[in-house]
Amino acid sequence: MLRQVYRRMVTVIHRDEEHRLNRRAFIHVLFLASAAMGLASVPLATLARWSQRSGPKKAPERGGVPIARVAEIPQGESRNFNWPTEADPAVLLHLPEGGFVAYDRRCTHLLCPVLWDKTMDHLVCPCHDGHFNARTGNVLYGPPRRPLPRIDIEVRDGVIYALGGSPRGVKTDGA
Amino acid sequence: MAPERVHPKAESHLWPLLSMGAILALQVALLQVAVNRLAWGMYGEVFSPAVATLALSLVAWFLYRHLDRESL
Repeated sequence: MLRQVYRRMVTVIHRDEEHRLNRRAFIHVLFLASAAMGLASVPLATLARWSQRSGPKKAPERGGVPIARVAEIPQGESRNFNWPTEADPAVLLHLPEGGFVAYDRRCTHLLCPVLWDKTMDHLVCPCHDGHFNARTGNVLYGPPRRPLPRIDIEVRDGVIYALGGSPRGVKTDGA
Repeated sequence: MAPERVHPKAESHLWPLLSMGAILALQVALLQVAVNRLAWGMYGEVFSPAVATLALSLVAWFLYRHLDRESL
């Protein structure tokens, strides 16, 4: 079976057999390429399903999950963390003017991780140059159409806790 | 010299190529998204693009079978 498939492919693309590269043969090659990509996606889907089953599914703790101590993050700096599960990247910002905000770190365009650019004062997605307002999470420009989901935080006794969050794509007030 | 004769159905036979090409382009894009998410450690988000890629392979297979029967 595999030998037949290989022979047909080789026959199609061999230099001396160019006359056989008709429409049918070309569609055959396209189909084989499509099948190869389909097969390649199987381990990816299996891995995703497996990680969803075996991954930590801890529910947010009452009173919040501690992220960092206030003193650990100077003004204008950021700290990456995972919330509500280890598979959900998030970012905590200490704004230059003071105050903390936290967002889901996945860009709402194609889920690349956004980075804090303190010189621009934006959260930037390096994949397609999407920019988000650091104070509201709303899109400033670029391909994303939805704001970054915000994570509610609370500061108690010098420790920052993650409490909850807005659903993906809900526009927040301001900006 | 007589002009080259074109089969009257030749134009209508363009759609299989276009369909297959569109399916392949979509698959490449979806696989790229899946691998990108995988590279960033977002394993849970890989499932939907991967399954969509697989589903498109099935569509391509049905199309291919259909074309085989139609003897294009």
